[in-house]
Amino acid sequence: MELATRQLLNALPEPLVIIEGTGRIVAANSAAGELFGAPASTLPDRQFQDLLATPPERLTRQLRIWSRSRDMVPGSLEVLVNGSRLPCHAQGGLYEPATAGTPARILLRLFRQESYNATFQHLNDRISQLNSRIAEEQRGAAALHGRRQLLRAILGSINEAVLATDEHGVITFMNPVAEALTGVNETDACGQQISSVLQLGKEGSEEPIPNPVLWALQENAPVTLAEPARYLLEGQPEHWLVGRCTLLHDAHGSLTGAVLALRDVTAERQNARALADSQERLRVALKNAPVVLYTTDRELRYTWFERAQQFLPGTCVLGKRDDEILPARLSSGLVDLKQRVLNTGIGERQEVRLDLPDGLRVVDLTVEPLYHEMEIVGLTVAAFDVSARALAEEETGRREREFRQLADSMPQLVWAAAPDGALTYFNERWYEFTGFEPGQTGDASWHPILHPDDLQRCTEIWHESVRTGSPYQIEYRFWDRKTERYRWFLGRALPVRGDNGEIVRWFGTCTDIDDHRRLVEELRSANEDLHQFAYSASHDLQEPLRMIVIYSQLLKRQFGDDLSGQVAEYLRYTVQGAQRMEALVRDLLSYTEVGAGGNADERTDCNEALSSALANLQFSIDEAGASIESTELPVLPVRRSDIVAVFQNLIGNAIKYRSEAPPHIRVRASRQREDWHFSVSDNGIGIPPQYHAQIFGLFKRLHTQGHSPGTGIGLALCKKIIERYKGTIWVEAEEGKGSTFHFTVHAPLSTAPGSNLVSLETPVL
Amino acid sequence: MPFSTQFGANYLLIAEDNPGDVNVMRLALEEQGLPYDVEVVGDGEAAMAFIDAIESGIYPCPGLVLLDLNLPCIGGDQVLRRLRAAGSLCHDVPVIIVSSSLSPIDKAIADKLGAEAYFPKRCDIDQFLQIGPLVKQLLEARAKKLC
Repeated sequence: MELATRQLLNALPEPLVIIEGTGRIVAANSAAGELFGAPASTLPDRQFQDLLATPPERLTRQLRIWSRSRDMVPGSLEVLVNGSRLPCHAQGGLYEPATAGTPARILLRLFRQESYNATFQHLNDRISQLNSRIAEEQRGAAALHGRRQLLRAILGSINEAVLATDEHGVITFMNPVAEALTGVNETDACGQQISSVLQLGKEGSEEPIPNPVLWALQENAPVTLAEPARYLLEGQPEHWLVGRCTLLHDAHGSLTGAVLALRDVTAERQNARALADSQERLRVALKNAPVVLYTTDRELRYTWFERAQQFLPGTCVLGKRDDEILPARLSSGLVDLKQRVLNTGIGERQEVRLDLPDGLRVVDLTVEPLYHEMEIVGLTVAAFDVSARALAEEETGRREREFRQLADSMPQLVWAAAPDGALTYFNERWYEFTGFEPGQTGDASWHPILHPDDLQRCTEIWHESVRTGSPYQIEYRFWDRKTERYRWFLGRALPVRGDNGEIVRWFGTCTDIDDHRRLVEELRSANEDLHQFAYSASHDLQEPLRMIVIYSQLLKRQFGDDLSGQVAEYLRYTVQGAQRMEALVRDLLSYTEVGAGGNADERTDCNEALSSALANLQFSIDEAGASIESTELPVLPVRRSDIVAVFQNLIGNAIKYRSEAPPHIRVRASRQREDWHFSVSDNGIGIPPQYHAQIFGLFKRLHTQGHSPGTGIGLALCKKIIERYKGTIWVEAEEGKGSTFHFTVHAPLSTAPGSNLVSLETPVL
Repeated sequence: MPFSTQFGANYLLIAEDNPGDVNVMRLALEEQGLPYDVEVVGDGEAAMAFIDAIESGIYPCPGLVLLDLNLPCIGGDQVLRRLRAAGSLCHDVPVIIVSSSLSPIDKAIADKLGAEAYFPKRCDIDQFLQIGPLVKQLLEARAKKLC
């Protein structure tokens, strides 16, 4: 090959190779040498296939296409560089047709996608240089014609539109791509002003922009069309062009012309538009999805981060690593995880806790290796914010632990059941008591220790509670393996309800009430015994007393006249003592009987009870000339005999302890909130204040037997009766000024029907 | 137990374990001048045995029975049931229940079982002696009924 051609080829920045259809390399420029990693001079005569990773049959097919094409036709090849594959675009076309003895030759142009723009720049610069040199040599060197032809061939092979003008903007050259772009052939175009062939506009405006060539010539400086410019050609869809206009100078530095290289970026632009659209759609979708996506490179630097602000507000993360934007305690786990995926190439999923400025976040990370051409070039990470769920789960777990700690610390047996009643939990104490295997739960887990007689009752009541959601309470017996006997337990359970009132769980306890129950039983039995004893004792005591009284009386009756005064006096004391003791025993019997038996639902009209008491006291009333008045009294839920006894004792006392004046006694009742307040006032001898409390004690008397009869049980009996009705009894009295006894009876308003309950003195509150 | 058939129906049966009360009852009957002999049994078993003897035709029916409710061995209520049982020869013999109990329940039991009267033993000789007039009244009423 001619030396000049080789020099020209070498001057071009792009890798160019001339090969035969058979694949043998004829020539290669130095850029091609650089690409293949071997000096250009060593490439001729080598098989092109040896430099490629492209499968032979594909190369053969590709070469066949190029050898038949008069235009430059794109294709792709994979170049082997130091053992690694480098994908390259290629454009090839017929350079010299086959002749007898020599196969067809193909001109091949190679370039890497990413170096495209740089190449473009270089190309323009080189063209400019070439043009200068051509213009310089044009003047006398006819030999240059051949070079010009070669240049034309090269420019013809270039995928960009190239137009050259003289220093006035008159077109001197157009390559085929420029012809195709403008729809004007070179012959017609040459000699025309560039502005008549090429008019450019910009996006969003009908106004033309200055012609880059004229502008460059005017400014005497290169002009770059960085933004795609719109090129409108009648009858054709709009085209978008980028490019650069370079100026040509002669050896003396005088402006001789301009070269405009234009690249049609219409398709790219449409692709870019489409890509931008789809990216926008993806971005919008992601923005509304609870997921954050990002990619990193092999150094774990963020290369793309969707919605970074959500996690790291105010931080620009692109180009940074986790350990640069997060504290070490947070980043170390992340970095470990990501590094592991990078090393193994196996994706992982992990929940990570991040203590971020706006609170604790729990993130479900899915880390996958990012491949490019079979190489791991980084990572893609999808991060789901699962804070709400995770924190709720933790809170639930924490509460559950608290509950279990509490349950385990309780002396009771504690259990829990599902809403359907299935037993799901027992505390430690349960397993300790039963000796069952820890963790053993289930419906029938408590049956083995339950008393057989209680099983059916228990099961029925529990199922009823589960069915109706009502609290469960029952007493039953469990086998205690330590004491080897059944013990009584109080079983209780309450439903725990959720936000919507639905039962989410049952919590139950079993409390050992065996000792309590035994004590109550013993107490009840002892009480009964005591009562029985008191009854028998008073009854049996009465018999001999009656004998003493009756036979003393008989003695007096039959031998009275024969007895000396002293004997008669002694007999009288005997009778008095025995009668008094008989009265004591009888009253004591009444006292022990308070609260025993009776109808719990009994309601008594107190007016009627007062009448009964007065009837019983009729003899004393008549004897003393007493007058008694009363307000309207209520109907109360008390035993009739109880309230009669109280009236009878208080009014009896009022008569018994009367002053000189005839007794005047007033009975009153009034409503005071949840109580009825009664008072019995008299005009009797009164009671010194120091005795006010004492008089309600058993056997307490203020007067000697001789002065006034009485057993000292009456007021104690009243106090016992009143306290039985949750009331109190007290006295207001002064010596010589009469007494007023007060007592209350508890009677909540809700249980006090009837108009006769309304006090005449105090309105119902 | 001393007993003579000469009593015929003109005897009264006292079932009472307290000799002191029996004495007072005798005194009360004497005061009324009632021409009756008195046969006394001291506990429930003896009372049942006496009734057996009546049913066997060994003794005639008494003119009246004074029956203590609180008898040893077998209670007075059981004895009263036996007397009032269907087919009993003594089913229409007047019975006075005598008791130291003031309980209205005991009085109600006596009424239900068919006693003619309930007499509480009072702690006063005058009151106790009132049993005499009561016996007299019941005997006279029965005599009228039988005539």
